[in-house]
Amino acid sequence: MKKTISCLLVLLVAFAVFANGAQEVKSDGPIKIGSIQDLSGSASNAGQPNAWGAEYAVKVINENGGINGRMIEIYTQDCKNDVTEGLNAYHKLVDEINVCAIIGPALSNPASAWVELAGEDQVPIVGHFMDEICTTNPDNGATYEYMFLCEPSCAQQAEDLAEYAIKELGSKKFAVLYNPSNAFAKAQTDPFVKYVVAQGLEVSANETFGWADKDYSAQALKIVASGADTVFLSDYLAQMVIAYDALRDAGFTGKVVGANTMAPPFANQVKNTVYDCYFLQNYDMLNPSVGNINELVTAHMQATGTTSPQVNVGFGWDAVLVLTEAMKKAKDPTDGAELASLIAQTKDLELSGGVKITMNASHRTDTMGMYIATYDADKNMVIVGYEKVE
Amino acid sequence: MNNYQLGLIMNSCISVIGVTGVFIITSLAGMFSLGQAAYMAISAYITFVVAKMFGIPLILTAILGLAVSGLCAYIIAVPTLKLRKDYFALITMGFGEMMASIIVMLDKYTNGSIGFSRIPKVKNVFWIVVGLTVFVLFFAWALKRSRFGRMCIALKTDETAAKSFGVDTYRMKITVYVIGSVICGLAGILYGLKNRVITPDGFSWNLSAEMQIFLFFGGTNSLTGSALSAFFLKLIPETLRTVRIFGISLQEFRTVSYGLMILLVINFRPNGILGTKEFTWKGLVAFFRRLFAKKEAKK
Amino acid sequence: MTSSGLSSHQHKINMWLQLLINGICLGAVYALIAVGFAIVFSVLKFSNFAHGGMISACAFMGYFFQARFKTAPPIWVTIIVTALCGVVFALFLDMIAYKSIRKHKSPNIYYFLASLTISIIITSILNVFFSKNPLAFPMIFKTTTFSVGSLKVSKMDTMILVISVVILVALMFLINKTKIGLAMRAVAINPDTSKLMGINSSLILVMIFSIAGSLAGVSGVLLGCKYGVYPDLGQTMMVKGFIASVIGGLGSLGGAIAAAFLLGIIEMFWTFLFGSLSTPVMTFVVMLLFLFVRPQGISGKFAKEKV
Repeated sequence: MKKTISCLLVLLVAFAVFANGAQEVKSDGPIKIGSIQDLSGSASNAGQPNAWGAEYAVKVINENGGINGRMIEIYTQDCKNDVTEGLNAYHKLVDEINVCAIIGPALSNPASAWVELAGEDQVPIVGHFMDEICTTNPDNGATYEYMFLCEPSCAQQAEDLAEYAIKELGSKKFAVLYNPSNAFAKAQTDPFVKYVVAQGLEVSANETFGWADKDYSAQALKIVASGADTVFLSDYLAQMVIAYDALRDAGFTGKVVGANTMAPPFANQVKNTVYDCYFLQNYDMLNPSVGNINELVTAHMQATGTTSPQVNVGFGWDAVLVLTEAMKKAKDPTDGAELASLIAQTKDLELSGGVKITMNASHRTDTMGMYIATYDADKNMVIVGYEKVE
Repeated sequence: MNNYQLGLIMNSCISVIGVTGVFIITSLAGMFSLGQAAYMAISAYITFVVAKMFGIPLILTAILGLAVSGLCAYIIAVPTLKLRKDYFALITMGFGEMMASIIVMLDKYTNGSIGFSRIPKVKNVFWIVVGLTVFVLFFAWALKRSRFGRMCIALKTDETAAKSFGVDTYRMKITVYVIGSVICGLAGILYGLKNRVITPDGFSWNLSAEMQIFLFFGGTNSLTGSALSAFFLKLIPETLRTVRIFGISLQEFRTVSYGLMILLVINFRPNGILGTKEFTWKGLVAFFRRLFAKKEAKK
Repeated sequence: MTSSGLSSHQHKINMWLQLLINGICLGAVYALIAVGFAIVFSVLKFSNFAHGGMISACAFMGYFFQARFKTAPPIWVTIIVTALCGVVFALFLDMIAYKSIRKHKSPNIYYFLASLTISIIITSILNVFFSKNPLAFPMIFKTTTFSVGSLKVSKMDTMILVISVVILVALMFLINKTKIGLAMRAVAINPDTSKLMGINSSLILVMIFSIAGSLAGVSGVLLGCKYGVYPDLGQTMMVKGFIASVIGGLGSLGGAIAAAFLLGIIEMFWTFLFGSLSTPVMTFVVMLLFLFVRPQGISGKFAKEKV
């Protein structure tokens, strides 16, 4: 009996995988788009709001009449911040569900596997994979025709922050403390160091930690001993908190600058007094008067029970906005090639943060800068600047 | 078949090759390794990084990659196998951790955690993967039935007795470990060929654990059982992408669901699905005969 | 550390002392984890991979317990409650995963497998349900450090050190000086014979799992207080605990504790001198060398492997 059941199960699985073939796309039916996000895995706290933002944008667009009368259907797939899972999700969307475009994740590792496939299948991918390798082939400098980034690239972000520290904070001697095993942190730290050195300033300590490390006090002591006045931190929130506390515990009294993972609830998690920390923000999330980002993050917090505003909600929204704007202009909104050429021409499109985006030749944007935020004495996030390096 | 289905079959085949490597180590010599993903990483990185640096054809660097995998396995095995059995799993696990950090350290060549991408496209990847899977399975089958293989199994069941017959168990274990690791290395190279991006995260401790779990699920001593379970367990989570129960998508629970499946097997079929039996056509025919005979008898 | 009054020599000594203190505190964290492994290993002869996942799960339990109150209860209440939750949780895991293995008298390797599976399940469940709101225990101390001379010592570290030492001493006492401990040691050496001697070995196993569970509960709360509560909390620290238990001699509690402190100190100095990236390489080489020179571990005694 058991054997019969197991045999049946095996057959069932085989059937489930291979039975659902490609579905026909009707010319007047809904437009199918995909969304590949980290719903599970170690980056799910970024991926879930990202997916929500994209789905919410689609809902709003459909309520307002869709794309020239046609509705949009969005299919969200999980990529677990893993290359294989990402490829599975990509092929599922492109080969089975027949989507005409994909909203990409906020992390670059899975996206780097699609760069050429998207060109072969003519499926534009719009997202926030901020590493340059996802939009430009570093071997020959060619732009990937079907990959589009909707925020400043990681080098731009790092430069914006470094520029702010040098100009506004008067930093003279830097140190960096980051997790090189995390692609997100590495992609930001390398250009930061490069930029600081190019400005003729010193990076007096280049310290690292790994996933399995939980105590950064040796690194912090070394940074303090190196005499740096500003430390750049980069990793996910939990590690940022440990790093900040380690630095302050070791007696570091200078400035701490860092990635956007220092956004709330960072200030409530660190155990030392929060002072002199400046970090990147894509949006002025708490300000209801710029764009609709405040409305988005509030809606997300209410809908999902998340306790702090999530920047990724805006990412999902923005990517859908850039894509659908091109769809509205397209003769055939399901034609990937036409869409890609239209997305490449995106000009002065206002995104959720109130800033306008214009795609440049490398399918990135030069028109967007980064906000610099800090915490006030009551641990509230305050935007103190907007920086854009030319 | 479309690219999605081909991709899934390739994933499953790569998983079968990896698990076969683990099968040889665990089933023939009774060693429990938790660092096999490290050999996948070594082979894959050497193959693709060296090929790109010096412009050497992939087939040559692949051989180099496999050789280095084997060498590393040898270096690890020589001191470790002198110790108690229990240490083996933990040391191989430490080895895996070390490899991950070495890849990050050598970021000048490997591009660190950002991943080594732009692996050149190879024609007929699908047939290469399937062909090598068949070859590896055949090899493992032949190895298991060879004199060497039978000696290994004898050693596993009773090491003292094997020693008393003058079998050099130490050297035998080293050989088995090297062979198994080279096969895992092959899986790593195919992983790179298929995905065209390799990242240190892709060869993490979880992958080693997953291969070991697949092996036990099918039955430690059954090559066909473990190969089948490697194939289908890789596939099943993927099918859950579209399944919804009570309006909740099971997509996020892919990993959880196969974990629960394994717990069920541990509780109800502690020796794995096939135990020590091999899956054969003859056995299948006999099984169906018995099945129908029972039904008739019931009538 | 720019105190101008000190000479550079004094300054250096201060730095080394500071590193030593930090290393000892880190060692206390490792020791707590390593003992959790070692105690299960000593009796059941398998490395409990689920321990890391259990620590994460307990950290969440502890957090949600104290979050139920308007003003957070004192930390020791949270620790005790979580330790009890840990016991219940460990027994539950024993029921769903390990019991049938014992019943079928399957080889130890199946314990490995079951614990691996449990660890994967726990981490992925936590990731799906609890990753959207990163959590942190409320602050226990107003200021984070206190000064001893020119050295700065973290209050949190000191608390962890004190609690770990108390628990470890109590545990060593339980195992080496009480009748229950004797029974545990007897089962560790030979479960079948001890059965014949009238020891209820299944009761002992339950006790072992309870101790491991309560240790996971304590470490969960302490780690959560120090590093924040998130799904990968315990899992990522697991490797360190394993390495400590290997160097200490598998299954030897005293050895594991000594090795954990040693590991914490070595790691601290190595990271200071050569950076953290090469630390895993260093620990691996140290582990191999140590095993090569002294295969029986620091303590030098363990229950002999059965043929």
